[in-house]
Amino acid sequence: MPRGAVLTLDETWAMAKLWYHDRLDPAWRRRTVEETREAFASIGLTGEFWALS
Amino acid sequence: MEELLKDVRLHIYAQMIATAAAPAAAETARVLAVPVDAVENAYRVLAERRMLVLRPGTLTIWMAMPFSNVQTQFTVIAGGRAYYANCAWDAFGVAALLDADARIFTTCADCGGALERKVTGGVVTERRGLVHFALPPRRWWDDVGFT
Repeated sequence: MPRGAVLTLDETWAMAKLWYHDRLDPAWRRRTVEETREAFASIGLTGEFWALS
Repeated sequence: MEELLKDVRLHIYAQMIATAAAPAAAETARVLAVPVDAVENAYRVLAERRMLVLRPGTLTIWMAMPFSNVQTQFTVIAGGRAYYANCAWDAFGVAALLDADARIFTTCADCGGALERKVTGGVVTERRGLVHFALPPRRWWDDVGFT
């Protein structure tokens, strides 16, 4: 199993809300790479592990 | 095409929320009054766009994230119904998607003990525990089942 990253439950909940709060919006679409990077950064997920390229 | 994709996607989620099971393409076609082959193609396109995951080599929905259409280690009770989520993140994701209080049941990956965590009023009320992300996001889709 890779070492990976560890999040607290509050961090996981923040990530879940960020990712899924709008999933039932008819206009929902997947985020672009840049939008995903910005979304991760907005909840403090930065650094090499969370880098998208 | 885009309108059909939207309708199909929303129907899949509506069924998943109402029944905790994803609809077959034929069922979606019947409800939407659309030819089955058009809906089957929509399932393929949604999967290609990573908006859902099909069981390999089939048109059966495996994941309509955060929901799982197969049994997993993450059970979420919300809105009077039990759902399976794909992972810990998705278990909280079910509560976020439904904007509902939720009870999440799983087992500790470290000690094997039973765990229950709650989201109540938009807050995680029992914060003990950690969530392990084995893979970085750039690799999540290499093997989304493992992820």
